[in-house]
Amino acid sequence: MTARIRRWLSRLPFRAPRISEQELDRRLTGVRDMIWAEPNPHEDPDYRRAFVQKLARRAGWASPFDDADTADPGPGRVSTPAGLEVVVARWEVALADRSYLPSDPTAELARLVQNLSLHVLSPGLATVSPGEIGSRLAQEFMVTTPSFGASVRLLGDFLSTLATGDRWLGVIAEFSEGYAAGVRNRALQEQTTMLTALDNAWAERQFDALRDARHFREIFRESPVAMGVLDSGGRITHSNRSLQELLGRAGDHLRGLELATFAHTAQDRDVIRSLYRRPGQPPAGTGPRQVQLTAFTGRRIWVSLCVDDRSPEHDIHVVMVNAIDSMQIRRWLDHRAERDDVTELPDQRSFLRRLKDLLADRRAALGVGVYAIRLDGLSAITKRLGAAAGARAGRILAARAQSGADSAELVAQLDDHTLGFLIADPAGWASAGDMIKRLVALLGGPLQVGNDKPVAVTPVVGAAQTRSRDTDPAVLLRWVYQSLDAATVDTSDAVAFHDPESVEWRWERDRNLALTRLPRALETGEVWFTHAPIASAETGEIVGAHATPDWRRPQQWPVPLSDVLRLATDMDWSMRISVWMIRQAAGQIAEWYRLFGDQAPFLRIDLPKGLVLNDALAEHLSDALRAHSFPTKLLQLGFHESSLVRAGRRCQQVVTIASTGVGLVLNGFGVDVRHINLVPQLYLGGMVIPPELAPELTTHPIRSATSVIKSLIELAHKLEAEVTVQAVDSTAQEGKAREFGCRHIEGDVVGKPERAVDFATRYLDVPHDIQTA
Amino acid sequence: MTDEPDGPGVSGRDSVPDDFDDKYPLLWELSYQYVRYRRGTVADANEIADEVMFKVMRRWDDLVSRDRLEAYVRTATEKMLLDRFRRRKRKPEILTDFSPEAHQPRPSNSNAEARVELNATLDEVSRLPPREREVIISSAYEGLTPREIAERIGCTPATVRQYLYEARRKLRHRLDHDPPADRSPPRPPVRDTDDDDSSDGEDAG
Repeated sequence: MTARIRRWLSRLPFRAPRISEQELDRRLTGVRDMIWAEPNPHEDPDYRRAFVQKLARRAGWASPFDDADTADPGPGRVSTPAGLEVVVARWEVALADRSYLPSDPTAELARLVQNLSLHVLSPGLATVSPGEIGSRLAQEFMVTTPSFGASVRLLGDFLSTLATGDRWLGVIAEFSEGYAAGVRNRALQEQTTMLTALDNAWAERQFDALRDARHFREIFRESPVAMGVLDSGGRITHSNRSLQELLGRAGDHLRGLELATFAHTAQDRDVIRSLYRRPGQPPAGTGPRQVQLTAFTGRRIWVSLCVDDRSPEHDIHVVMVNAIDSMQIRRWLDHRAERDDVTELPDQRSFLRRLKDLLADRRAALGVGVYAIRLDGLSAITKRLGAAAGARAGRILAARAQSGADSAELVAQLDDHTLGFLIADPAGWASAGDMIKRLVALLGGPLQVGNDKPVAVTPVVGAAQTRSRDTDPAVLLRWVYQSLDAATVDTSDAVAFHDPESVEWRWERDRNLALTRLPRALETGEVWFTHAPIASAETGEIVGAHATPDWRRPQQWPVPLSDVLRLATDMDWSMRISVWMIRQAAGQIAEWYRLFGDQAPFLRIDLPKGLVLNDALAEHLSDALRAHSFPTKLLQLGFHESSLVRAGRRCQQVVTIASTGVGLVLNGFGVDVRHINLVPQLYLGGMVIPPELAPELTTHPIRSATSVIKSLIELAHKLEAEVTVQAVDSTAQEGKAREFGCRHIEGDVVGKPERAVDFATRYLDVPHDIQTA
Repeated sequence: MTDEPDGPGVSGRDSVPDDFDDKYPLLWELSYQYVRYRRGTVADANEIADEVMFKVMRRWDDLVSRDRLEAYVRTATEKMLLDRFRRRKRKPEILTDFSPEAHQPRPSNSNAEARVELNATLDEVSRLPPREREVIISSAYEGLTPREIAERIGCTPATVRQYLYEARRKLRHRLDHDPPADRSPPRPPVRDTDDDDSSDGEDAG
């Protein structure tokens, strides 16, 4: 009551004056800083070692520090508690010693060091990859090679102290790879800059020739540069030998021809005509302009054209330089600058530019999305089989990606082991799901990269989509990477190398395949029920069946379905699977009821453990019951307690479901049930004692008297619930179950799980001329 | 009664995982700060974080394979903290170390007032209704965006902004301009108590 009065009082306006928004922010920030400043004793390696040893002793495990040498950071190194500031300061000095740093880089370097540290300690928390850090070092900080060498030594020394093991080596390797890629891009940019400078120098020389009419005449005849004189209409009056060779005709044949008629396209023709003066207009001397001409021989030539029409005789002086070489080099540089060295796919920069264009386009409202496939294990192939094999694997995978990505607007190499796919139109979206499934199958297939046995990678899929034109392409790409990180299972290098012959890899691949195909399998009937018979403990008569899902094509994906269901639960597919199970079970019971009437057995299904009971499930259950005609008590739904009880309270949908007449059964009784006080409120028709407790059905005189099962059954009777014991595998256990007052038993002594048809034939004496569902 | 979160059982290994020592300090800090932001004492935070690390170590392989480390730490910490507060409510203890200063160096006169003010702020945050408390902690202390908070607590970003607005409004009203001379101990943030009439208390966990 006091609390309510206090809250009520606090809402009254006379509590003013209140503090400002800024003051509130200051105090909240102060609280955060206060707590952050509290010491973390685990930063001290000695404390950490002692703590882990303590935990290990408590768990009865062996400690990794039994051999003290492995954890000793060693003298002379930058210890972890020394913090990042020391490292940042040393790094800054190392860079400034051998490079030119244009502005104060301390804050940025601190961020980069922090990210490198996180990659060693907890990669999931880092926001910038080591490769990107290396690349930025090359392109933004423009560090020299000696500076980079000093950086590697200093950072390697620091990172190696952060943790035992050799993860830091991988971080440094990726950092160095990024630096190499950055240096390459920087070199290409420098070459482009150099080429531009050369072009400008050439143009300047041509202008020099044109500026001085006397000089033009002097060099006209012998010049290796194509030169000509046009009249006011642009027709050739004089041509030197170089121009004649360029156009493929002697001077007499050229005289009187308009230069613009040699233009390859109408656009080029307009460009040429725009360069010289129109009647009544001021001089238009300008240049150089690049146009494409067609010679008499049919050969197409790119030329750089300069024109001067300022001579008092109204002649037009023209100079042309073959621009093919220059353009080819420039195009090659452009190509190299935006393509991956190994795969020749567009690189991340090109991908981002295209993404930016698409977002700016009005089509963005229809949805622009990026799929990314991380080729998990590709780096391990390079590490294990060498760079040549890694490059070959990369090229094969790039070719497969291009062949399979028919719905993508662009396929690009986002980083060394990630491919990006740009989807930008409704048709692409419609088929994107199929495309990704196809790509996963293609990219996950065996790769023959040498004389060794085939290897393979595990494709991991991430995606992000936006309909806003204001989305930053880099942010969208970051979402994709976060999605990839969330989907990637943390694998050590040893596991990341996927040998198709290895059991582990096959299991991983099969699990992923199965997970990808499970929704489709549910829709197409590839998953079905097997039925384990349930007998009355008293009479031994078969009274029901326990249905569990099974895969119709186990030879294709030999993965335990329970494992797939567990993964599906993790991926929030519990509802989908539950609905499917309820519908299947309702159909099966209706069929049995049609055949056997009141003698039909009940059917129990166990809904996934991660299922959250909600109105939608109750609706689906009602729909299934409406669609089929049978007494609802024949359907039993098995739940785990976590599905029925949330936050210490009964889910309200329990009443809704119980009111349909369907039997509610609590699974894991005696093992997973924590809120025994709530059990009477759950309207339970039965409880299932799981296989873990079956050994308690013992004939040992002392243990039998104190058996847990006996107590559980007595408790269930007090709660007016029937008890089923699972995994009853011997007649002795069956007898004990009967003695303890158990209602139903399930296990080898009753019968093995079988398909619906076999179950009905064996236990229900179905007429041979009637097919069960 | 057990306070362990839902999840698969303990893995069958018999030695400490190789990478546990590398990763756990950040997880420890996550657990520690989780408790401290919710007005747990320094002693509470240390004990709970240590206990959570023990649970994490035993489930390491499974949590790592499912990428559930941080989520598990958060859930386990939350449950242990709630359990601790419940137990205290049933059977009050003599809390000699309820103030975080108990395990801190004694503050100098110059910053003592500031610490009193910050503790008062932390008290008021802990008195907010559960949803508003979670939102203000996630936003102001952990730096999450409304969208991230919405994903964590299971509602829309717009609802998060509403909670944030309400929380800030209440804090601005309740926090005094001058630090109070005397304050009663804060009410522990138990979510499912009977006297909490907030409609969103049911969503805890």
